[in-house]
Amino acid sequence: MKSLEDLKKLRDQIRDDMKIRDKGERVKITIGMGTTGIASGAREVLKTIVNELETRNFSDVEILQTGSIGLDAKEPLLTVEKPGLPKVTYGLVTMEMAKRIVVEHVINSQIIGDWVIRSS
Amino acid sequence: MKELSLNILDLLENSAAARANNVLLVINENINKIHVELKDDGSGISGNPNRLLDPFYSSKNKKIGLGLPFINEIVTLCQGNMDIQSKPDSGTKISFKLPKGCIDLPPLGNIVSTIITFITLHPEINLKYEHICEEKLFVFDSQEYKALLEDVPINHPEVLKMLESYLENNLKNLYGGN
Repeated sequence: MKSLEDLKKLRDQIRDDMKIRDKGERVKITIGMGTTGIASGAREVLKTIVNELETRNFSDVEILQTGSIGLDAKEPLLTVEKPGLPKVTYGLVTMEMAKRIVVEHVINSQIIGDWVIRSS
Repeated sequence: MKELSLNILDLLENSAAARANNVLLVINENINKIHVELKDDGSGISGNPNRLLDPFYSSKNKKIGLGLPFINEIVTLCQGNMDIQSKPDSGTKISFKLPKGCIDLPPLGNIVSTIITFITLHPEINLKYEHICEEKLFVFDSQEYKALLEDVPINHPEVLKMLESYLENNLKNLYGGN
């Protein structure tokens, strides 16, 4: 962003984009951002997720945070709730895993079973 | 924590948990010291705020809390100082000063990533971030950008990307890079 004009341009572009797009139900992604989550890499995992969403031009997502949920040994924890699919929690998520979770699960609805630690 | 900026993210998350609407983060550094100050208008806590330094105390619904004890550990090891002020309903102010050159002092690390992460997760909170380096000042106020963005959310992935590179460039300038 070189000037505020650039940001205004982007704003108008995103607004047009949102009008065209058929508003489906949003995917809910929850990341553990308590002390343990942060210490085990949640910030970098979240950054990877946002970057990947931006690259794939996928913005029907709501990103939320949670504190410790009693599974500290499995942090960073990532929960994905996509309409029509079970709510799934991934554990020990790395940046590489986060990238694949976005592409395969969030966008293409394929749960990555090997990494799931809890499903409901 | 590997970076001070991660400790700072942890403190910012505390402010969010205390339902703050406005958070001010000031980082003031020079060759000799780094001074971090965080002020929020969240719920605050009653009693002696130094309780927060006890790992077996938490104001949240759990038995331990390590966020502030981690920072206190660095402050103790580096012989810096720390001050916490908190009152119910009038927010919390945390300030710590650390001398640079101490072997136990983690690097500040990626502060931009900390700011962007916080905006991603808490778009509704106004975050003002001031960074002073050798008398040079950079100010970022998320409220201004939200006003400009109108109905477009500040945590839209494309907006975040733009803000991130904006912050990175400005910090580079602040540190005197080219």
